[in-house]
Amino acid sequence: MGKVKTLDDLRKMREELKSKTALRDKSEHSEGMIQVKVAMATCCIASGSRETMNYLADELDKRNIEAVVTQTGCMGYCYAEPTIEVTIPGKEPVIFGYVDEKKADEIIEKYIRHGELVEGIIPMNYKNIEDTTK
Amino acid sequence: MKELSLHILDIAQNSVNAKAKTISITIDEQPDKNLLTIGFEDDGCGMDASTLARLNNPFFTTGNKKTGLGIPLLQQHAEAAGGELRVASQPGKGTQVLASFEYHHIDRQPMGDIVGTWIGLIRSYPHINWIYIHTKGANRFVLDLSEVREQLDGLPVNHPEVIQFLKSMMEENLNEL
Ligand SMILES: Nc1ncnc2c1ncn2[C@@H]1O[C@H](COP(=O)(O)OP(=O)(O)OP(=O)(O)O)[C@@H](O)[C@H]1O
Ligand code: FES
Ligand SMILES: [Mg+2]
Repeated sequence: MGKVKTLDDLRKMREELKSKTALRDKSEHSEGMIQVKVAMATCCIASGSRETMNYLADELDKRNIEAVVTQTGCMGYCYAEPTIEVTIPGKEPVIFGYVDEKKADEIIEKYIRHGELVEGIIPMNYKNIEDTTK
Repeated sequence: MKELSLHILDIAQNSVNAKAKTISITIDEQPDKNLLTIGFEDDGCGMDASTLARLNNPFFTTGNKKTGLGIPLLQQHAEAAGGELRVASQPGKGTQVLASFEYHHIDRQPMGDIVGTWIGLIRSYPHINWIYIHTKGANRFVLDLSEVREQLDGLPVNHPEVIQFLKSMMEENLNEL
């Protein structure tokens, strides 16, 4: 079996990472960035929102799309869990329901990348979901 | 919940909502003693006695956009697996939650994707000091986010490559347990 990674290895890769990346902490400079909020109340978690959230975060990173993925509480559309809210700067927030990995992929490629609408949007009264976890 | 790791994500969320700065999650697997425990400790706002007394009622919540199911669901699963749930809390100091299960009980849920839970938490709340302690028999793996931060020297813990590193570091170490 190969050597198990330790924090030492992390320290060793640090300088390389620093030189490649603008030193930017996304969670502190999130205005003007695409925001994705994943509903993560108890029953959302039971319905698969953890997988949705990790998939979205991994894929946005891999596809080099600057976005902040955060958690929020129940959005009130429990029948359509997992639900997410996507806000593209300058546009009204949009809520999507039944977001499994396949739907999440479609949302990234069509809506986030190209602003095209995709099926699964939940109509709402143009009201932002407050972040209950702050 | 199909997995204990989903309960962990959910109960940890309570500590985040309570504005905790440091949250530790302690998993102790002792197959020889037929015991599995999951403990949470936070330094959040805590609860007074009357809140604590109502905690086991489904749909009791103080949060908006909350359903009040997290604690009752975990309690139900612990009891169904021959264990119990205990909560201790002091207003202004913090909260401790301890769930126990019979390790070999047929209704004890599997641990599931604990790495997914942990990565989800640090990604969403990179400024909290997450402490993860996982013991199996006599072996132990500890991951303290404040130590990770020291190694990173200013680089954010939710940097994509750091996240991928932590993910595989955790997977490898848990495999060795
Ligand atoms: N660690 C904690 N610190 C302070 N208060 C807590 C903590 N855990 C639970 N509580 C209190 O107990 C209530 C019930 O918690 P529970 O997890 O059962 O439901 P919820 O978090 O309100 O909703 P849900 O988990 O369904 O999204 C919370 O609303 C909160 O008032
Ligand atoms: S509890 Fe999940 S959206 Fe309502
Ligand atoms: Mg809860």
